[in-house]
Amino acid sequence: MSETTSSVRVPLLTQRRSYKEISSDALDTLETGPSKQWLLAFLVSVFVLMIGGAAIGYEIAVGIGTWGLNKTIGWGWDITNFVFWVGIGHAGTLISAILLLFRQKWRTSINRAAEAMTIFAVCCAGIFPLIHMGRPWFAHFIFPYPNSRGPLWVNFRSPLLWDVFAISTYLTVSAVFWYIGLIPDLATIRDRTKSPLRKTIFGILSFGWNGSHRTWHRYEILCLTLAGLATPLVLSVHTIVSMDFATSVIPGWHTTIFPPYFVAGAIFSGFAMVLTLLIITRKVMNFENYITVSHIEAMCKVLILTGMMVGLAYGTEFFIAWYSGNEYERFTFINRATGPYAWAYWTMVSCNVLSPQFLWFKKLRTNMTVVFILSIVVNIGMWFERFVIIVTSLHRDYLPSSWAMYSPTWVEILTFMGTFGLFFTLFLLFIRFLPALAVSEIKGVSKYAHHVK
Amino acid sequence: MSDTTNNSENNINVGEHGYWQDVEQKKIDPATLTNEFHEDPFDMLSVTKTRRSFLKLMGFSFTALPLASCIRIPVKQAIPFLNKNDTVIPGVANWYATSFGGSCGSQLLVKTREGRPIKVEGNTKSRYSKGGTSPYAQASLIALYDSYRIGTPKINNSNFEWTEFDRQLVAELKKIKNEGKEILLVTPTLKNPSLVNLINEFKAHYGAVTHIAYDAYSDASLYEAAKRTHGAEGWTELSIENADLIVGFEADFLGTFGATTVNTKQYSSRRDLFKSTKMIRHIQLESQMSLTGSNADTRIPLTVAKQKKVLVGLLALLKDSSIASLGLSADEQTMLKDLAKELSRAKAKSIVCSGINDVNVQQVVNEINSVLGNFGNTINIYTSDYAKFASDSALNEILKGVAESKKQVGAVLFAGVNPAYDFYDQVLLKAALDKIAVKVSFAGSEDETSVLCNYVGPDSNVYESWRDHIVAHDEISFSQPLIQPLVGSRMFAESLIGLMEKSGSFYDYMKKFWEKSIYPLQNKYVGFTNFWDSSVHDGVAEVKGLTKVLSFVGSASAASAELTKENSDDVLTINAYQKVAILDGKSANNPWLQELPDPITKATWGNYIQISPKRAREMNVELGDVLKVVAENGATVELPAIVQPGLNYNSIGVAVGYGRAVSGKVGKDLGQNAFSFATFSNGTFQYSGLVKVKELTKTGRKEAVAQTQTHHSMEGRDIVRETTIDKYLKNPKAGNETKIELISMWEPHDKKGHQWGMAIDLNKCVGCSACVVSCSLENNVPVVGKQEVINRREMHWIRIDRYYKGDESNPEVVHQPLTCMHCENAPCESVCPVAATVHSSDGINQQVYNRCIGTRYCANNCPYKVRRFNWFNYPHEDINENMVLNPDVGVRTRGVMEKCSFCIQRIQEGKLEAAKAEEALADGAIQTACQQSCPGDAFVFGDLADENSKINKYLNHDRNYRLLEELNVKPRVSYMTKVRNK
Repeated sequence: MSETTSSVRVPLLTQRRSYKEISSDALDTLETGPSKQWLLAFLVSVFVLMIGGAAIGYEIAVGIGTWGLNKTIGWGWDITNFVFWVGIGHAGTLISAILLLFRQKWRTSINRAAEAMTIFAVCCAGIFPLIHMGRPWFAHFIFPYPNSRGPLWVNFRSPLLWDVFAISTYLTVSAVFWYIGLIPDLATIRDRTKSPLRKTIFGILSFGWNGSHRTWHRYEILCLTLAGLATPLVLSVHTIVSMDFATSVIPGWHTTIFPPYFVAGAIFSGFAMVLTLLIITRKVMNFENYITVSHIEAMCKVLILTGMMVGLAYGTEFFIAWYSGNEYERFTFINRATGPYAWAYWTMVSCNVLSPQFLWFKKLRTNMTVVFILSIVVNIGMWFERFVIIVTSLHRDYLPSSWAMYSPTWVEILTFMGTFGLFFTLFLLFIRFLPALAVSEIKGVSKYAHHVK
Repeated sequence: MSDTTNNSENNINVGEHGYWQDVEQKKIDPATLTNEFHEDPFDMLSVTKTRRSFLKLMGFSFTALPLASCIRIPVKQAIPFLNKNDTVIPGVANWYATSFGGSCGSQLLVKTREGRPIKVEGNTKSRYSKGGTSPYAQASLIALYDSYRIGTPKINNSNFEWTEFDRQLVAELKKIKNEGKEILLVTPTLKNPSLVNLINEFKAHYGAVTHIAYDAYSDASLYEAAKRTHGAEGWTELSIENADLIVGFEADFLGTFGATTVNTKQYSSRRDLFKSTKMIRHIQLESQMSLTGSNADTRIPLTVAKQKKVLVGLLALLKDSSIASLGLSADEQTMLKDLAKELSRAKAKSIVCSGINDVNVQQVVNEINSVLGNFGNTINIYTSDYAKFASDSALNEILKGVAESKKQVGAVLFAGVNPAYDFYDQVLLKAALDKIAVKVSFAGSEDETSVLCNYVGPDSNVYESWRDHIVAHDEISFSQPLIQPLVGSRMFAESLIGLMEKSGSFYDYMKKFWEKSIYPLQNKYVGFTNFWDSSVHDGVAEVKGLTKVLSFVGSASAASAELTKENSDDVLTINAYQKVAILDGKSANNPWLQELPDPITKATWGNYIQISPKRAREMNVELGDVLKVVAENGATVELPAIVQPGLNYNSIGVAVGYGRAVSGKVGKDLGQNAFSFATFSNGTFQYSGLVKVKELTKTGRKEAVAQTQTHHSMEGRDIVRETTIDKYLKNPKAGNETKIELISMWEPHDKKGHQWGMAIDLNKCVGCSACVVSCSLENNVPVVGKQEVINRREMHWIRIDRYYKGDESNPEVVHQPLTCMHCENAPCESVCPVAATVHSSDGINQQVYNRCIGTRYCANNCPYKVRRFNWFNYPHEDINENMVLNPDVGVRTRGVMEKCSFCIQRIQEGKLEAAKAEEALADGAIQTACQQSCPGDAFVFGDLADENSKINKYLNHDRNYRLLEELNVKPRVSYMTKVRNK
C-alpha cells in the first residue's frame, strides 16, 4: 500500500500504532491494580460524595427550610445546579450523535469519555429536582401512573412535567447509546483477559459479540439509528429545561429566546467540562497520542463559537427588554447589571463572553494549562449564568413589597459539592473498569490515518 | 420520703444491742430495715431482691398505679356525650357574645366548637364597634391557651389551694387593718361597673384601702384635664362620623390611642365614597410616623415641643389673640394660620385631639374644642360613678411616701398591672416595695411584678370570666365565660369576694348589682330576667344614666401660659411610643401579636430605634446598625436602627412593650425596655418629646430587624392607584384611567353556580392589621418566629403592603392588603406538575395539600407573591395551644404550599346553611375572616354571578381596578382607588 500525505488534514493520531498497541494502550490499565493517583482521587471523591449525602439527608430530615430560600425566591442553588449539570450533560450526546452523523472522525478519541460524562452529569442533575421537593417521598406523584385516587392525573401543562419526560428520555437514550458503543470494546476486554471471572463478566456484558461481519453491520446500523434518535434530544432537553423559565410570567424568565440560548449555553458548558476532564485524563492515563492537541483545539473552537452565541443572547435579552417597552422587563435587566447581584452578572459575562476570546490565539489554545484554566472559568461562568437567571429574576419581580435577597446556607453548598463527589466517583470508576477510549473506533481511524500518511 | 432524718433516728440497730429475736432478723441487713417503710418508689427498686421486696414492689404497683391515675380528677364536671347537652352539637359551632375588655372597644362574638373558643368575630349588635375588631381583640384568644399561665395560687412560691390562700391572706390583711396600716390596691383604669362596685365594698370592708388606677401607657392627663376644664374626671369620646375635619396632635387614634376600633369604624365610614362624596378631612401633626398619620390627608411632621406651641397658637388664633410670643418660624406661623382657618370653617363639625400625656396640652385641646363648639357635636367628655380613672401623680406620690417611710402601707394588691416592668422609675418602685411586707399579685401568668410578690392568686382569662365594661356613654358590654378555667385560676373579682370572707360567685354578685343598679337605667325590657338574659345574649346593652356628660366650665389660660414658657428648641428627644400589636407589652407572650408586622415599619419580634433619614445620613447609619441611646435621665438602650421616613429630624422613637424579663418563651428577652425613657412631669407620666438624648452613637454592631417588607417604594409602578377628591368629583375615573383590553389563549373556566370575588377599598383600609390576625386564627396559619421572619418566611395568608411616595422627610403612605388574587388565568395552576393547585367551578384557586409535593414553582410564578411554603414542620404538640386550632381547616405538614382559600370553609358553611333553610344564598351572608374582622369595612366579598350583589356594584364602579391587570391573569380580587381629601 502506498502512503499518501494530505496537505490539508493532519493525522488524527500523532503516532503510528498497530492495532495491538492501541488495545494495550487503552486497556492495559484495566488489567492492573489501581494506581496511587487513582486511589487518592477516588478516596477524595467518595469523601466529598458522602458529605453531600449527609447534607441531603439532613435537608430531607428537617425540611427545605435548611436552605436559604424564602417566600420570594423559591428556587436558588437547587435549580441552578440542576440546570448546570443538565447543561454539562450536553456535550456527550452532541459529540457521539451529531458528530457521528456528520462523519467527524476526530470525535472517536473523546466520544466515550464524553458520553460517560453526560450520563454522570445527568445523574447529578437528576438529584436536584428530587431533593428540591418539599416532600420528596411523594416524588412518584409526578409520573402518570394508574392510581386508585379517581381521575387524579399529572398536569401536562406544566413544564416541570415536560422536564421529567425530557430528562428521563435523554438519560435512557444516552445510556443505551453509550452501552451499545461499548460492546465491541467489552468483547476486546473479554478476549484479552486471563482472569476467568473477568472473562465471564465481560462475556455477559458484551452480549456474545463475535466480531463477525454481521455483528459489525448490525452494530453500525444501530449506532446510526440511535444517533438519529439522540440528535433531536440534544436540542430538546435543554429547550425543555429552558421552558421551566420561559413559560412563566416572571420578567427575566418569560423570554422566547430561551430555547436556543439555553442549548448554546449547554453545549458551551458541556464542551468546557469535556475539556477539563480530557486534559486530566490524557495526562493521567497517558492518552496523549489518542487525545491529541488537535482534539483540544477543535473543542476550543466550539467553545469560541458557543461562547459568542451565549454573548449574543445576553445582548439580545437586553435589547429586547428595552425594545419591549415593558417596565418590569426593563427593570429586571437593569437590576441584573446594576442591582445587588451585579457581581454575579459581571462574573457571568467575564467568564462566558470574555474568557473564550483568548482561544482565538493558537498559542493559547494549544497550551494545555491555559485551556484547562479557561475550561474551568467557563464552567464557573455557566453556573453563574443559571444563578443569575433564576435568582435575579425572582428576587425583584412585580411587587416591590415582596422583594428579597437570597444567599445559600452551608447545606446547599455541601449538597452541590456532593454532586461533584458523585460525578468524579462515577467517572473514576468508569476509567478504572471500562475502556475510556473507544478502542474499536480508534482502530478505524488509525487505519485511515495510516493510509493517508 | 421527704424526711429521711426521722427514719434514721428510729433505726433498729441490731448490731449495737447484739440481740436478735429470730433467725430472720439476724439475717436481715440493718440498712434494709431502716428503709422498711419506704415512700420513695424509686429507691425501692434498689432493694435487694428478696421475696419480701418483690411482694412490696408488687403491692406498691397494684395500689400505686390505680391511685396515680386517680390523682387530680379534672373530669369531675364533665358530662359524657351519652347524655348530650342539647346546645352542643359536634361539628357545629356555638357563638357567644362577649368582650375582651380592651380599650380599643371591640365587642365580640366568640365561636366555640365542642366547648373550645376558637375564633373571635366582631359583634354587630354593638352600636360602636359595629362588628369591627382590632388585632388585639383577635389575638387575645391565644392568651387563654397560653401554657405559661399560673396554675395554682402561690404563697412564697409554694402551691396552695384557694381556701388556704384566702385564709392566710385574710389573716394578713386583718393584721394590717388592726395595726392601722394602709392597704394599697393597684388596678388599671376601670370602666367595669360591677367590679368597681365590688372594690368599693372591699374598701369599706377593710377600711384603709387606697385604690389607685395605674395604666402602663397612661392617658391620665385626659382625665385630669377633664377635671380642670369640665369639673370632673372623665373620658373623651370622639364621634368621628359627625366630623368633617379631624386634627390630631401626636394622636394615634386609629392605632394605639383610645377606642381605636370604634374610631376606625367611624373614620372609614366617612371615607366611603359609596355613601357620600363628602369625605372627612384629616390633618395630622406628629413627630413620628404613626398608623394614623400614615392615613392623614395632610401630615405635618413637627416635634412634640413645637406641637405644644402650635396648640397654644391655635387656641390664641381661634380667640383672636396674638401668636407672636410663641417663637414659631414664618412657615410654622403660616401653617398654623391655615389650620386655624380650616378649623373655624368647620365649627361644631371638627375634632381636635392629642395623645400627648400632658395636662396642659389636654386642657388647651379641650378649650379649642370648646371654642369650636365641638363639645356636644363631635366630641364629648363623660364620667361615671362606676369608673376608676388612672392618676399618675397619686401612684407616684404614694410610692414616694412609702419609700421615704412617710406612709405606712402594710399590703399592696396588684391586679392587671405590672409596674415592675412598666413603671418609669424602677428604683423608686423597688424602694417602696421593700417597705411593704405583704405583696399580692393577681396576674394570670408570671410577670415582673408577680415574681416580687409573696402572694400570687392567678386571675382567670377574660374568656373564663364574668365582667361588664362601659363601652361608651350609653353602651355597656359583657364578658361571659366560654370555658371552665383551664388552670386553677380564679377571676380577680372572686378573689376579692374571697378576701372579704363572703361566699357566692361573682356571677351572683354581678347579677344582683345589675338588678339593683343597671336594670332601672333602661326601659327596653320589662322584668329583670328578661333584661339580663337579653343582655348576656346580645353581649351589649343600651343604658342611659350610667354615665354623665360633662360640659366645658374651666379655662386653659394657665395651661396656655405654662406651655408658652416651655422650651421648644430643636434638640433631639425620645419618643417612647406604643407599637401597634404589642402596645404596653402586657401581651408580649402572644405569638400572633409578636409576628404581626407593624403597619408602618413592617417589623416584627422586637423593638428598634427609629431614626430620621436625614440624621441617618449624617451619622452614616443604615438599617440594622445597632445604636446606643443614652437619655438625659440616664436610661440607655442598644437596639438596631430603622431609618424611618416621615420621622422628625429631632425625634427618635423606641417602642415600649419589649424587653420583658419575666414572660413566657415568646415574649421573654425580646428587644429592650423603653419605659425607662418615660418621665414624670407636670403630674403625669410623659412619653413623647420630653426626654432629651444625651448620647446617640453607633456601636459598630449589626443586628437584623425582622421585617416582612424591606423595599418601600412602588418604583413608579402602577400598584396603588390614587387621586384627590377634587379630581374624583370631576372625573370618577381619575387616577384609574388605564384600562387594558386583553385577549386570552386559554379557554375560560366553566362558570357554574356562584362566582366568588372580592373588592378591597383602599380608601377605607387604614392598615390596622386586624385582618392579618383574624386570618391566621381562622386558617391555622403558623407563627414562625423571629429568625424565620428575618429569613423572609412569614406565613401570613394576607399581608398589608405599605409604600412610601414622595419626600422622605414627609412621604405619602399607602396601605394595600393582598390576599391570594384567585386569578381566573392563574399562573400557579398551569405550572404545578401534579395539579395540586386547581381552579374550582366557583372561581376559587384551590390548593390541595395532600397532592402537593412542594416544587415551589407556583410560588415563583405568582406575580403577587402570596403563596406561602411550609419550610419546616410547624405544627407541634402543645396540648394547650393546639386547642385554638380551627377544626374545619387542616393543619399543613412541612413541604407543602399554602395560601388564602377565600375562607372556603366559611363559603361551604354558608352554602349549607342556605340549603338547609331552602333559601337562595343571600348576598353578604358569607363573610371571609378578613372581611368580618375589618373595622374599616374595606373588604367586600360576594357572588359575581349575582347581578345585584354588592361586589358587582363595586366591580362596575369607575374606581375599580385590578392589580397587574396587564398580565392577563384576571384576578378575582380587585381594588378601589384611594382618594385623598387634599
